[in-house]
Amino acid sequence: MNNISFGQYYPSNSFIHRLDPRVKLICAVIYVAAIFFVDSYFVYAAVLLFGITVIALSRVPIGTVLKTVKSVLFLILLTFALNLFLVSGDKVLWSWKFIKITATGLDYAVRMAFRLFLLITGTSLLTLTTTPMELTDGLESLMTPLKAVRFPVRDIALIMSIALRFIPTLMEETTKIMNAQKARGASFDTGNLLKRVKALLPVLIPLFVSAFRRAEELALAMDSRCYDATPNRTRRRQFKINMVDIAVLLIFAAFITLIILDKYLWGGAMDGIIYGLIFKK
Amino acid sequence: MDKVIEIKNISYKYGAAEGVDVEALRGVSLDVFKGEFLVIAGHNGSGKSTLAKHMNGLLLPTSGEVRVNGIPTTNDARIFEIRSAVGMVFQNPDNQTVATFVEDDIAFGPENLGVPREEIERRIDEALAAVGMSGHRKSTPQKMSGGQKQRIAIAGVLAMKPRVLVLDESTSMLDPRGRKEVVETARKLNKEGITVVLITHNTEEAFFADRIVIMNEGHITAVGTPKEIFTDAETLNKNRLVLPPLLEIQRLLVIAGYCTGEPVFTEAELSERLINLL
Ligand SMILES: Nc1ncnc2c1ncn2[C@@H]1O[C@H](COP(=O)(O)OP(=O)(O)OP(=O)(O)O)[C@@H](O)[C@H]1O
Ligand SMILES: [Mg+2]
Repeated sequence: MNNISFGQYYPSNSFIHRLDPRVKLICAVIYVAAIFFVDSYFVYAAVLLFGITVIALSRVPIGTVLKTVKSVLFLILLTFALNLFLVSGDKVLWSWKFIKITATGLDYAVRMAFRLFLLITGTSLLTLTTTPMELTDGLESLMTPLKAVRFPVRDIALIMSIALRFIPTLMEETTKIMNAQKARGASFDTGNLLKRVKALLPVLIPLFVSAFRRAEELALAMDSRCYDATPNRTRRRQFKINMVDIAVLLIFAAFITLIILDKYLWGGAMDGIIYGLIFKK
Repeated sequence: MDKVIEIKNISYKYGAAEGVDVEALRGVSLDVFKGEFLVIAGHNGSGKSTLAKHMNGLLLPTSGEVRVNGIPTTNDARIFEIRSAVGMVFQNPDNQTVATFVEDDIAFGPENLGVPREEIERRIDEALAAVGMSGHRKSTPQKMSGGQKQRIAIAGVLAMKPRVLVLDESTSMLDPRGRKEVVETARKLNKEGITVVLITHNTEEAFFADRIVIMNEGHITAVGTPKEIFTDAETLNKNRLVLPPLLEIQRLLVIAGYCTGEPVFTEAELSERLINLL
């Protein structure tokens, strides 16, 4: 609770932490897209190895990274089960009454579940090694070209930073209101779902009222501090791309090339080669 | 004396557009002089905040005129000049910071004004030093006491290099210690040359004022030095303000014939006086 303003951030001084947040953002976006192109098991293994290397370099404990998977474990298992039972194929591995597990189904299930796993761990590595403030600043900087089409980049960045700033305040307030309602005999964790939702209403209404009052005063304070005075607003934090950032981008590009080549040129042939090597008679 | 803010016979109606008409100010005239410590006191709803918001053009008068450094607040082209000259701090310490970290928050004003980067860094340090919070540059206001949060809010305003600091009940949500911190900070800044307008309904904070203005029902009903105001129990009464205990004791002593003369404004002086009586 007390560290909520820093999100999941895991403080350390590793070189991954020190990378330009824009580089990390770009890498994360490309990574998310690239994961959907991963084809062969060989490349899955390569992505995993790459991921483990990055985690090791970031000095974030593996356990902390895995913890982020816990909240979506259900989703991963569901995806696995759905693919396992619903994808049909020729080669039946196991069947019981109308339930059938095919080789294709198993293959799909493993791939999809693993894909999700890589997606979650990879992206959480971004938030584990970058503070929300760096992320906001990085996003603002990356979106700068959009100013040309009158996209309110600065306002969006400010909205994000204010949202971050007010999360702990509103959390504190929620706890206070809940305690006040509890003192009057309200109960939030008994009864059926409908009852619980109903019990939350007397919390949400005062919370909204107070949030609007806060917004009003904040707006006055911002106006008083000359918000929107000039389009030539100073940007205090300026990012500088250094050699390490460039090196990281290059390594990343090479990595993505491997994934694309594997999918479109080799057609997953790597697996075949490896099978051949392992099961050579 | 130089006038920093000139308020000439202004009236203000809330909700004129919706046709509800709450007349919050009715013909108010007031000059704020350079370097003074001015206290505006008045009970709830007397129009203090409405008046304050006219001082930096957050509100524009329905009739009459407000000038800051001679510039009318209706001058759209120079409104930011006015806002950076008259810094304003509000009531709730939690609702005035825009950033998670102190330094980012203090930078907000100067950034908006397009102040060069190196200059902003310097101003952050100076502003923090001025409110006695050096060393908190990288902390987050979230974990601070109310008094500290308000001092950060003051620093955020100081970074714009204002000539006037308006505190609109900035102490009313604080505990006695926080209140003291904020008032002391305001007094220190005033000694260093900043004009202070302190709005309060806690009359004890008016002891140090050069002038006290009392508001009631959208009018200014009295103006005077602390000595004049605090010996005039009738005026205070009429304006629904209570005499602070320190002065109430002295009033009773005067009525009972135990002492005469000027009121004193510190506990030490009062106890000395009482000892002399024995
Ligand atoms: N936004 C608004 N819309 C309509 N009426 C308002 C608004 N703000 C204030 N008023 C009314 O204007 C009058 C003066 O309010 P103002 O806030 O200036 O008083 P105040 O002296 O600052 O009071 P307080 O001590 O409660 O802060 C009150 O009657 C109030 O109800
Ligand atoms: Mg008020």
